[in-house]
Amino acid sequence: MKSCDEMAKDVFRRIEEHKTERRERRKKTVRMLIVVACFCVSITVVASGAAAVYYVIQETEPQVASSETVSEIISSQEPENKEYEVKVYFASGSEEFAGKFKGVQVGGRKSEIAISKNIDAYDRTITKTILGVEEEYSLVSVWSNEYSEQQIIRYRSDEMYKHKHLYIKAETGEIVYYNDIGLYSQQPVDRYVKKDEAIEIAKEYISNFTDDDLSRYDIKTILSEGKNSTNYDNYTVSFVLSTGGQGLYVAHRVNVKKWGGECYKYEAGKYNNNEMKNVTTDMMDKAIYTAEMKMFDLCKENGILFNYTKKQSAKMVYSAEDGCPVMLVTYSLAEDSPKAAGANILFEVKMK
Amino acid sequence: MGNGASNYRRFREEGDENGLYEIIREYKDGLIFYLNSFVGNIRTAEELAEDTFVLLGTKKPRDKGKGSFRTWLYTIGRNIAVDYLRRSPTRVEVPTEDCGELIAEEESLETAYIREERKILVHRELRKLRPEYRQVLWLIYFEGLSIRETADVMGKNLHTTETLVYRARNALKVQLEKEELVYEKL
Repeated sequence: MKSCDEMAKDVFRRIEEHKTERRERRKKTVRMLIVVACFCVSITVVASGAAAVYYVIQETEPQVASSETVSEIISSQEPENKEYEVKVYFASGSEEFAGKFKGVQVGGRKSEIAISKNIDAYDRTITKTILGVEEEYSLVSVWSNEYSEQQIIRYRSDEMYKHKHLYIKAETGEIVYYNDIGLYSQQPVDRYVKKDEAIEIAKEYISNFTDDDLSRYDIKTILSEGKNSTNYDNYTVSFVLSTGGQGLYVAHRVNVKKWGGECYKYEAGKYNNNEMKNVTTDMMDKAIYTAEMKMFDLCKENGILFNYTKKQSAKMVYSAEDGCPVMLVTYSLAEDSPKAAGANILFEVKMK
Repeated sequence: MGNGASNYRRFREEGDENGLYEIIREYKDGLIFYLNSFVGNIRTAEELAEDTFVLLGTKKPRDKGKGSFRTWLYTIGRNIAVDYLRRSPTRVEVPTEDCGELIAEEESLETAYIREERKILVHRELRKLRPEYRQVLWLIYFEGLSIRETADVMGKNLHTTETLVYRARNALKVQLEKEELVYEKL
């Protein structure tokens, strides 16, 4: 039999063992809870991040009207364009076309590379956390706004379908603009230049184009498909080097303001956009409709799918020559692929 | 009256291990004998008594103070013994060579705890009775509990316990007469 001391010793030993066992069990439970909590948090973060991206994409995805929609519109309305004279410009960046404007949008992948040569002082990549997602952005370009004297650095994430852009003030590092609008991202111009400089830049770019570039951008090639008898001598064919080139409808708002407005303002000898008082909404609608009709026919004749969202800009101006209102409507010839950048058609619908 | 309740309070509320040590010192032997009346094996009874003290030290149950500390402690011991018997329903076989040793251990404990020669003889006659009679007679005549306290410890009502005491006493008388022993307290 155990003595009192022996039993007490055994009792206290077993109590201590029990305490140790309980501590270990608690530790294990806490570890398991931490693992489970981390798992739940990571799932929540990933899900919310995905939801945010999905939300942004859903919110900003362009609503593309099909050619059938346009056909319905056309068939339901009798065109009333007898009094309009329509001129069509295939805008692809010639000196002549560029020369019509004070500024030419200079952009596209090539210009981004060219311009970014001047900004070696900046880091090539940065990492930013936006909407809870940390991502690395590559330097794309630096552009100066000659009006506000600001220099903006543009960074872009490389994921094709996320196409995120950051616009950062070079002077302060402040993010002044951020977009995440899917494939069809808004791309403001890299910089604006004056007429002579624009011509020089256009020449330089055209001279640097490879055969591949030319085949991609050559409107003649596109329009010749299915029809060889088009007489291009009647048109002014030029290159427009637009920013990124997609120029889909998200971008056209920028173009309306910067390209259509600012450009024509300096063509004082030809157009005067300060006298718009006699132009009614109805007149503008008719002019746009006429241009759309013409665009639709042109695409149909040449086997190109007409996409309503290709309209980049519509600008009503007056002719300085005879005072007639002129509707300038610009379409992109780019197919869904953004590689067909920079191909535009300018319709000049002059009201008689 | 022992100081069980105050010692336990000292251990439970102030963490003073001496409190538990005093309880073990004071109640160990009596508890072992009581549990032995259940399991009929002094070593097993000793292990169960140790389990009872360990339970006091780990779970630290609250003594509601309804009865004496001894009653409460024996009730815990009884529950542990019942659990043990439930887990091991078959009788434990004791090797023949261990029997003498077990009896010697029990007698040694009797000498230490019961002390009186006459009581020790009566206690030995208890082994020949049914377990329930052993338990009730041990609690009343050796531990000095009242019938009410005995009923509480055994988990029976008062009337049943009174009947049990009556029958156990008669059975012990018969057994003592066989051995030509007289125990005037019966």
